[in-house]
Amino acid sequence: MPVRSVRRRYLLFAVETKSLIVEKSVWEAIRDSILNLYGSKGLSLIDPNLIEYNETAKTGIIRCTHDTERFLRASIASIVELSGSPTAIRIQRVSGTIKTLRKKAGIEKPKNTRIAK
Amino acid sequence: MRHYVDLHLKPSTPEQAFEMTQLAIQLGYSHVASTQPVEGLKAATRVDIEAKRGKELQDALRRSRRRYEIIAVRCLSKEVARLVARDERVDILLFPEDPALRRQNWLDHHEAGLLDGAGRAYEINASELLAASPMRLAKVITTIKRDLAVASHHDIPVVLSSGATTPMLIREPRALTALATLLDIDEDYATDMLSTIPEAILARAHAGHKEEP
Repeated sequence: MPVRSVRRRYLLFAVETKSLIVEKSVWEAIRDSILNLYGSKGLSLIDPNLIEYNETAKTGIIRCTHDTERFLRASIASIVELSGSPTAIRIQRVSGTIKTLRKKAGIEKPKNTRIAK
Repeated sequence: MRHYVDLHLKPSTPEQAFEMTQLAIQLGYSHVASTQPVEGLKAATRVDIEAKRGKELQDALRRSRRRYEIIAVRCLSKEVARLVARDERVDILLFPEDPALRRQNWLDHHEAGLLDGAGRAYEINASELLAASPMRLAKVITTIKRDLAVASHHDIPVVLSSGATTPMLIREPRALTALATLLDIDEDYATDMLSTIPEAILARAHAGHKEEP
């Protein structure tokens, strides 16, 4: 049976804010928060990847390595502002595969692929 | 099953207290304590006393003991910290948020010795770890870790609370336990800091409140 070399965790999050937030701002805020708390080594260990972000629903899916989920949660919890507006990013669900996460959360796979960062 | 407790909501109005309590319950907390009265929802009443002199502290404690379930004291001087460590009316001990003020005022072995076995807890507010510049955060982490080492040496219970002043600063329980990684606290103990330890404080406070005439 083929085994994946790196185990991942997929986290579904919701952004609570009054202003419209674009995918790039969310990604930059999460990346900067990780860098701020854990530095470049932490960023490399966590290996975050914003899989998708729905600007209308203000929800998204982010991936990290399975043993650094706590670090990613802490980094996301540390975000208090996005584009000048008070913000809270809350993790709603976590799963080991994106397919299960989408299924549990009732999210359909987006037709267009995510933007290149 | 774990019951998560946030012992420190600091809303500015009763309306905001209602909103914040409702949100905390949605996020998975079973109990909360608020510094503002909450109409229509169950929340413990809490007072944060800030005192620099012993006389101020004694006056505030005399006024507060029957009115609030949870009494927390922010010790602004060594004198107050020593009195608080001995006073049975106090449930929670905390220190100033400003790292500059914490330089002369921290949980030392003498106070910790007085607190030992008394059930009074040292509180960490997650709000201190949020929205801080990297330099300030580094100072806050160093200060709290110094206090935690003393607390651990004397087996003093440590409580993790949000210290949220607005709904946007409330975090789900697992986010708070994750923030404890910044203080090198392991996940199991961080979970206890947010569940069994504050639950015991709340139970003791309720029992004490009922006993008083």
